[in-house]
Amino acid sequence: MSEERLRKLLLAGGACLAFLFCFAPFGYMVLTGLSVDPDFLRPGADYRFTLDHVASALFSESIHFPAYLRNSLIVSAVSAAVAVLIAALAAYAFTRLALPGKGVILLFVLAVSLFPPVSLVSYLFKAMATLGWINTWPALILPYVAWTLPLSVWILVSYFSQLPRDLDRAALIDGCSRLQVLLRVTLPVAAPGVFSTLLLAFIFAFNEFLFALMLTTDHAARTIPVGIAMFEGLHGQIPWGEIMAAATVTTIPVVVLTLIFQRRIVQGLTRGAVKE
Amino acid sequence: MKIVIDHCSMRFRTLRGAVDAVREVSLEIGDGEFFVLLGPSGCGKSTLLNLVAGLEQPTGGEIRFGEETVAAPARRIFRTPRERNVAMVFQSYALYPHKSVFGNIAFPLQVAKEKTERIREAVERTAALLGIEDLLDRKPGELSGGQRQRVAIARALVRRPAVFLLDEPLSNLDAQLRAGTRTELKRLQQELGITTLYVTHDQTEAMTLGHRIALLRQGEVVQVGPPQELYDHPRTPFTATFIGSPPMTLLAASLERGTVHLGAERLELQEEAVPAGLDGKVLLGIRPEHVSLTQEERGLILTGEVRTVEPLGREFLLHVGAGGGEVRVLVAESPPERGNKVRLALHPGKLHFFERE
Repeated sequence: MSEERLRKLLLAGGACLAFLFCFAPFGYMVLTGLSVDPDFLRPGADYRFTLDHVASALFSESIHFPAYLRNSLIVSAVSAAVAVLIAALAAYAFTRLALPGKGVILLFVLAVSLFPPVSLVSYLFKAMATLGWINTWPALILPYVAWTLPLSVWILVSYFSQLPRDLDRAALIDGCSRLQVLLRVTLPVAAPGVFSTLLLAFIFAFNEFLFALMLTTDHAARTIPVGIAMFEGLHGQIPWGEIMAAATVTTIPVVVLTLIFQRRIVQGLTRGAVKE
Repeated sequence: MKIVIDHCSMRFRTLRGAVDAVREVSLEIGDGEFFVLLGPSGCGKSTLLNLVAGLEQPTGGEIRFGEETVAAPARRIFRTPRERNVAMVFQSYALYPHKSVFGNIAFPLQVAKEKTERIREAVERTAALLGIEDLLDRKPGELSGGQRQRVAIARALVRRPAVFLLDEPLSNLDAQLRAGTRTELKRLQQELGITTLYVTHDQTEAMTLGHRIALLRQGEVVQVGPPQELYDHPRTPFTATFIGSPPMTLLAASLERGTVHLGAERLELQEEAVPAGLDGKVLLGIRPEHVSLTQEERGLILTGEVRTVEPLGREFLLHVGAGGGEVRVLVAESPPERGNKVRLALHPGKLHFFERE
């Protein structure tokens, strides 16, 4: 066998393994959600298809899944948007303005994200309880913004610093204020970076469990990850079918968002801006 | 718009200490003048342009546009670029990649909140002026270098600026395109009559374009004047060698009562050719076109050996080892071969003398 063929074979095999490794749990989740008997892998059991779990997860009054989904989408979208807005302003200042001690401040921003969330959550609970925000959206949005901000700032700083300075200078000459430069030139040109940061911040908030568990009490503000974990059957048994069906439905918004943004996250948008 | 730069300084503070990019520069640029800032890289010419544009704040001195002071750190006056009505063309073009050609040219007017109809007219008129009216729907990424340069110039001209600033606008174009665009820039400036400040390191561009040139070196103005004056009467060896191509030959010599000693050779100067106030160690300068091959024995004659012959097309450039250095000579035809002994006649009246430390 030639080296070339061997290499191709190894590449294909490796890709298949990686795909299986990543996809198997997801596949198992989907299959369980659509099976009458969640233990369909047990010897002797056969697989029978049903949409009952999906329907019950979506429409059952006692499960509150639509409320969780609504909470999740609103909390995630708002925190991602706010975080990226603040991060964009910060990144512009870091990369374009004469700011003394830039490097130190950036490292400090990173250091903030090193605190383990579990060490903050009890204090956060007290703070939110004092504010009377427990079981409201802001109770989650505020910590999510704070938590995703360092990462967003760092991503946007690296994006903005790649953009040619001459573009800023040209916009200033063309009569823009600094804020107009950011809104009309820097952000549109850095769109791939902005969209990937938005997506990352969104997914983070969408998946977050610990804060959501501690700071919400019922379906008024509870998000999907906690909501699903709290599913309970009539007699206290764990309703695996509903859990898996709900989890499957939950992945849909993220997949859709990724597909929408993916077209925006293509590189090469600065092509033609400046002569390198 | 008349521009006055009055004892302007710019000091950058970096981690490795302060750098004086511009030192006490004073210049006056007349209304409608095409003024060139010329100098090698790092001489402060681009910084000076940024100071006029308002992209940097000077650390000393004043800048005035007409009667208005636009920058005076001592009096805490600083006008932003948008308040100065300046337009600028960058070496990198700096087109907005997410906007079409139309969007790029229209941008300064859109920021100024002009009416849509007026913007369309102005963009179409300016595009026609530069011959890019067919490209208005394209994106910058789909244009060639020359087309991008035109878009950048159109964007600068569209709002009829008071001052037109160009930062090495031609250095990214290939040689053929550069010559054509150069001619066109000159024509545009003559037609529009906008006060223009042009930065370049290329002396040919400076000579062909400028009404006047300021030659800069290490943040200071070395000499200011019309191109021909800088060429004919350089006041320093730096001006002498920077302006003119091929450059002037400089030879270390000593001057004693009208006699020049060049190594073993002696040149007797006529009375009117003796420079006033210079004696002792000097640099003798002579342009390649002011040296010719000769059979004569009298006059200002140097003998030497041809070291290299460079054909330039229209003429030949000889490098001749003579007078204790290397003399550049331009000859029109039938150059001697390498290694030949030749006699060089220096044209009297075309000699330049500079002090030598």
